Amino acid sequence: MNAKRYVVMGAGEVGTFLARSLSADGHTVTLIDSDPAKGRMVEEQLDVGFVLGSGSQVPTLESAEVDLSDLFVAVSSSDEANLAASLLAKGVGASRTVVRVATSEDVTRYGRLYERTFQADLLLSTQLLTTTRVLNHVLGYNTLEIEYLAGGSLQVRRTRIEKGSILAERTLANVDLPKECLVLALISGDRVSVPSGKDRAQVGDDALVIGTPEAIDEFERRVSHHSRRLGLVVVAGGGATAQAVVEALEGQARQIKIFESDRVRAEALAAHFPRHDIVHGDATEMSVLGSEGVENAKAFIALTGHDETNLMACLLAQELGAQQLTALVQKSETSTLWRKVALLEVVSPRIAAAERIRAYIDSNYQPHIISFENGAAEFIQRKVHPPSAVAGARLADVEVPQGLIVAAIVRNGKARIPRGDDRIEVGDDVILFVRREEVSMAQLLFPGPDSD
Amino acid sequence: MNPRRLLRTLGLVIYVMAGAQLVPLVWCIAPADFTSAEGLLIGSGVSALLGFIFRLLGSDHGEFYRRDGVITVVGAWVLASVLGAVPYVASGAVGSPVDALFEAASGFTTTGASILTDIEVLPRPILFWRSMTQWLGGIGIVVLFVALLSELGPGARFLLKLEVPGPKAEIFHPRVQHTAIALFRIYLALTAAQALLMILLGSSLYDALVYSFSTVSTGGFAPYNDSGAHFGAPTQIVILFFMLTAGANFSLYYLLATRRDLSPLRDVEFRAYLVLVAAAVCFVSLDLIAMQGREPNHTAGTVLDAAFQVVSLLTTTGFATADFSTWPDVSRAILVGVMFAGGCAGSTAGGTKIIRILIGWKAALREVRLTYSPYSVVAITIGGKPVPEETVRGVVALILLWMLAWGAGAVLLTAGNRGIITAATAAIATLSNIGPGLEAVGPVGNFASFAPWQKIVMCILMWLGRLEFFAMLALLQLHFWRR
Repeated sequence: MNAKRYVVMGAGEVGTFLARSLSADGHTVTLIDSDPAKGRMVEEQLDVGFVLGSGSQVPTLESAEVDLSDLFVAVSSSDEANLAASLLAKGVGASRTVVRVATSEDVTRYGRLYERTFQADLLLSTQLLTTTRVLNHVLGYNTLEIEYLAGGSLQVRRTRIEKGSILAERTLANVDLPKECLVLALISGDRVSVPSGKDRAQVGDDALVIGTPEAIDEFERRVSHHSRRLGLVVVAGGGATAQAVVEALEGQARQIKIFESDRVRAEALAAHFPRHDIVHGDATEMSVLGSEGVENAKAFIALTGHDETNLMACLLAQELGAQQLTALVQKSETSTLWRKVALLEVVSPRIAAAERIRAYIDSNYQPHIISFENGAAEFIQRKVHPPSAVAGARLADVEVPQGLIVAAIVRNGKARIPRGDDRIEVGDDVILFVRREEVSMAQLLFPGPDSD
Repeated sequence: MNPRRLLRTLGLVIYVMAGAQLVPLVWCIAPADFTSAEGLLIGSGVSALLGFIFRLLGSDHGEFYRRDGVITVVGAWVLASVLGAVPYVASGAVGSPVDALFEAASGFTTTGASILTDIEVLPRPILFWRSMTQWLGGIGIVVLFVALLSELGPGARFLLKLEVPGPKAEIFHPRVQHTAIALFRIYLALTAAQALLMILLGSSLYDALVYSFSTVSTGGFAPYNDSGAHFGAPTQIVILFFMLTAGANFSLYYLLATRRDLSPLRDVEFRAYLVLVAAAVCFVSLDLIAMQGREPNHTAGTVLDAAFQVVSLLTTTGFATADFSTWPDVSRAILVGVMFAGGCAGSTAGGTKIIRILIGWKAALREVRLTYSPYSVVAITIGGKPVPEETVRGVVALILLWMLAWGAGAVLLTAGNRGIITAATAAIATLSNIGPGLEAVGPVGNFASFAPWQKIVMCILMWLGRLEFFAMLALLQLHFWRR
């Protein structure tokens, strides 16, 4: 591997984790941080350069030689600074930028807008990555990554097919899939194939599935042999990550109970989740957990902002007899220790972000799961204009080549997965999944510029 | 502490020593003279064996801690000096082991002080080895080999900081290994350039190499009794130029090469260095001319002499083209003065370094200001950039240690009625890694007459000066060895 240059803004957990792994692979890394104490720590522990200053100021970017870098990664604790730094880094001459933001909504609904505005090649939300990992563990999913289309009302998931999965045992035609979802492609290494009903997936391949969030959840449940619908799920902590997890768990669990020690926040949660049980209490108190029936929990997820509280809560829950313990841990270096102490899964938001960025780098800068190596296939979103030959036609009557799939139709802001007897109408937005050979065909069927 | 990792790293350094001792054998072949070959082969064999034992006992696993770094650096310098002394003893060139250790320590620390009374009787391969020790020590034995050969990562970074002189080692490339390679390239280029120029001016290949090794490392070992005066004025000017070049911060050359403009030369320390050289040359020249009376024919020669001795002592090289011991008092005082300064940080020169004197001076002025304006907050800046307080602390502590060591060394070296000037200049000449002092240890004298224990004292002074105290003193602290 030839040595590349990387500039990482923010010498926090994500930044140092990335810097360490990239530097160990022989790459040249420069960290930027405005805290001199971080600088000393970096000098002490890592073989990377350090520039003291703010990443959202040009002199700092220049002295970090961002113009010579292959990739600029903005992972400081401030979302605003990260976004501004991305834009400035591009101005100074960075080849590519990755930006991390804290909240998930920015990415699910407005990801592309942010990316375009701040010229970021990849926008990440730690919260989103954390939620995905928590759900994988709690629900037994194999989601590698989620991509959001049509403002978040549609998801594209890339799911690893494990041993025992129905997809590996039966042909696609014989798998009973939910209505509002569609298997777009099977990915084996860097080969992307559009499956027909006769195809069967191999263990270790990835399936690319589009659909509404509920349908895809259903899909994952049916496909994965060890996924489960849960009885009681207990969540400790009611912060933003916890809320995202609870939202994703709705429909997957019979009952959800949330412990929140802050009275005001607990009341807000009660208003936000009227169907769930909100408990105002400390999840590190045995009596509180016991009286709320934690011993029956099929999953216990500790998502407060304090590592110690999360560990403590998990230990108590384990003692009471709860199953499936998951704890959120910020300080990643303690993760292995935690796993020794209790039978629990540790999810570290920072590690998740750092690994996602590593994956981006290792995939030769394919920013999204829907962007493939060498552009083998891509998603195109088009508005249907009057001259289009297919406008008004039934989908089943439109002759399209196998490498072109009308993956979704967005009409009046509502997205759906089309069936054969659905019609395409003027004014619809269609989301097409197109293999490279068929891009010109897509152009022919749906003339006009790309829309968003 | 991780002794096994430490042994493994030291073993690597020792292996390189074993290899290096084979290089001078070339001069046994060219004019066939195998008298000293045995000594070098024994030296190489001893090193190879020790290196093998170290590697065998060591292990590449585990963390490389800071304490391991400190022991590695100090251990490598002491071991190199001991192993480098073996060829002198084994070839019979130097009779006493203490003398041989002194000569080797003086070589690796680029001091250039010698116990030899007649240099020219020694076989050429041994003299070549003598200059090679300086060349190896100039760039830094540990950094060079550890950074180039092994994958210590952050550990190597720490080693580089311990070994590169100056208050704050500049690692100008984000990767320490690239920095080490860049330093080595600059070093090689300077050496090759000087050797080439000397050959063009009529030197033999052997002379050109030996002198280049001792110049670029600011060492000062010459294979002839008359040191720099062995050559005519043109070659002396070449040596003068390369001494001056080697005394400046090597990161300047890196920046010059990468930026391709002259802006790095505006560096504060570099300018102070040139001003100091120019001022000292001026005063010494005027003093010498005043003493000689009006003899216009000799003015050019006198200025060259003044410039050569000033640069040689300021950069802590220690070549001589004139016996400055016999110069008038003002000139001698100026020469002793510049001995304390030394060259720039990040160079191969010894001494306290110009940058430390600048920082120390500003820190002193700040204290003066605080006596009448106690609530002032004064930042110490160099070239507009603030100097961190911990750097200021380190600088002040180092200057204090330097003076203490010099004082203690001077007192110890007066034993045996050697005269205060001899003892005091011998102490600073070894501590600042210069070489010659005044009177008995002047450019025509040598260090042979000191008692063996005093030679050991001077070895310690040379190591302390080369490693700039802290690493060596750390080993003397009880706290260091506590778990």
